[in-house]
Amino acid sequence: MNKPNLSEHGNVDELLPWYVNKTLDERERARVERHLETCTACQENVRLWSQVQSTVRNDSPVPFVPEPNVAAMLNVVEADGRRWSASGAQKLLLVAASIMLAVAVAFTVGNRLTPETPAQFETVMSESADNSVQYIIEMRFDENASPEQRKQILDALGNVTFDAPLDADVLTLHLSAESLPELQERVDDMRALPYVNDAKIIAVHLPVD
Amino acid sequence: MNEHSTISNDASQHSEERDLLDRIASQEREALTELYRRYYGRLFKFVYRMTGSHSASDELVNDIMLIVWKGASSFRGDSKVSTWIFGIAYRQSLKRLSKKQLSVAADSDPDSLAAGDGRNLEREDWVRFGLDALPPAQRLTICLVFYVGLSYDEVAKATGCPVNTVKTRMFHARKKMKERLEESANAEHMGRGYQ
Repeated sequence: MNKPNLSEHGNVDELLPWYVNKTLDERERARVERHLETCTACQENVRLWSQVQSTVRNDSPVPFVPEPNVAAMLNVVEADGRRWSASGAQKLLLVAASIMLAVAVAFTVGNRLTPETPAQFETVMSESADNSVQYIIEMRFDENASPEQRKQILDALGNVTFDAPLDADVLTLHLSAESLPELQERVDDMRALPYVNDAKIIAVHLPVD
Repeated sequence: MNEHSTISNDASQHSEERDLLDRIASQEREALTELYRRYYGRLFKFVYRMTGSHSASDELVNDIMLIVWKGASSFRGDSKVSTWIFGIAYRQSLKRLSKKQLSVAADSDPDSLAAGDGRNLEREDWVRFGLDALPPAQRLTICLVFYVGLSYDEVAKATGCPVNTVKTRMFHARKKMKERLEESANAEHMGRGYQ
């Protein structure tokens, strides 16, 4: 009788869910089937995963699926659009008026943050009503996200001006303090996007001169 | 239907959905409506398994469509459109669960299941009980594998995790389910002993 190959057992065991859902390629499937001929533990695990699959595919936990409500869904989209377009022009003016201040603040705060900011972070900055606090948006992108990808995602923040290449470790951008509550929601949405590993607003307290 | 025509249908569906996403990226509401109609049933059932509530599921599907609307231009085309959309559903469900602590597992008390209501519990009930006891990330991953039918590469893309993490998550889910089922079987055995 052949000795069980433990390494092969471990490798096959972790493929079993996908053997059951039939998404393995031909070579992997043949490998699993060869192993299953002699491994009773894996045979039992295939039975368990098959039962899990049958339970998950069974729709009984969902009593009924309502008809899709197109109007309600479009309302959600429209409401989000209105929220962001209402203050668009105002935001643009604020961005233009404060761009010079942003550059100065970027040097001060950016230099302080750079050594602690991991690669793949884009930093977006906002001036608060209280000048002793700056709000920073830190975004951690998937390492595979291209500069175009990052730009498309950051564009969702609204009217923005970049002062550094998109693949830079630190990117500074001035936003109005008034938009912070809305920004918080938008940043929350961004966490759900593919290629965004994390996004958060943090407050940086500046030393008072 | 033979395998060739299935593959060809899949390719045609992917191409149509890719086209819809391109149009959504150009802010075409008709394309969003079309995609919503195509995915509503599957998304609703997927999120219902986590929320256990019709209104919360409906709201969650709308949230997912809003993300699709705003993020369509970031779709790179290196995965199927369905993988991308269910990836959004996975993240939104996790986010919702962490905010509201919604969980159908709240009813999963091993003693109450073992005591039952006088009927014989089918194996499927036991498996569902084991599933409900899993942490949200493991339960959602199982739904991606068995309900949506994603390969391990696709699950990795949808969840933003390395393939090895996906495999490990499934391994731990199975271990936890087995432990939970054994616990319940013992509780049932004890319950019968007192009768």
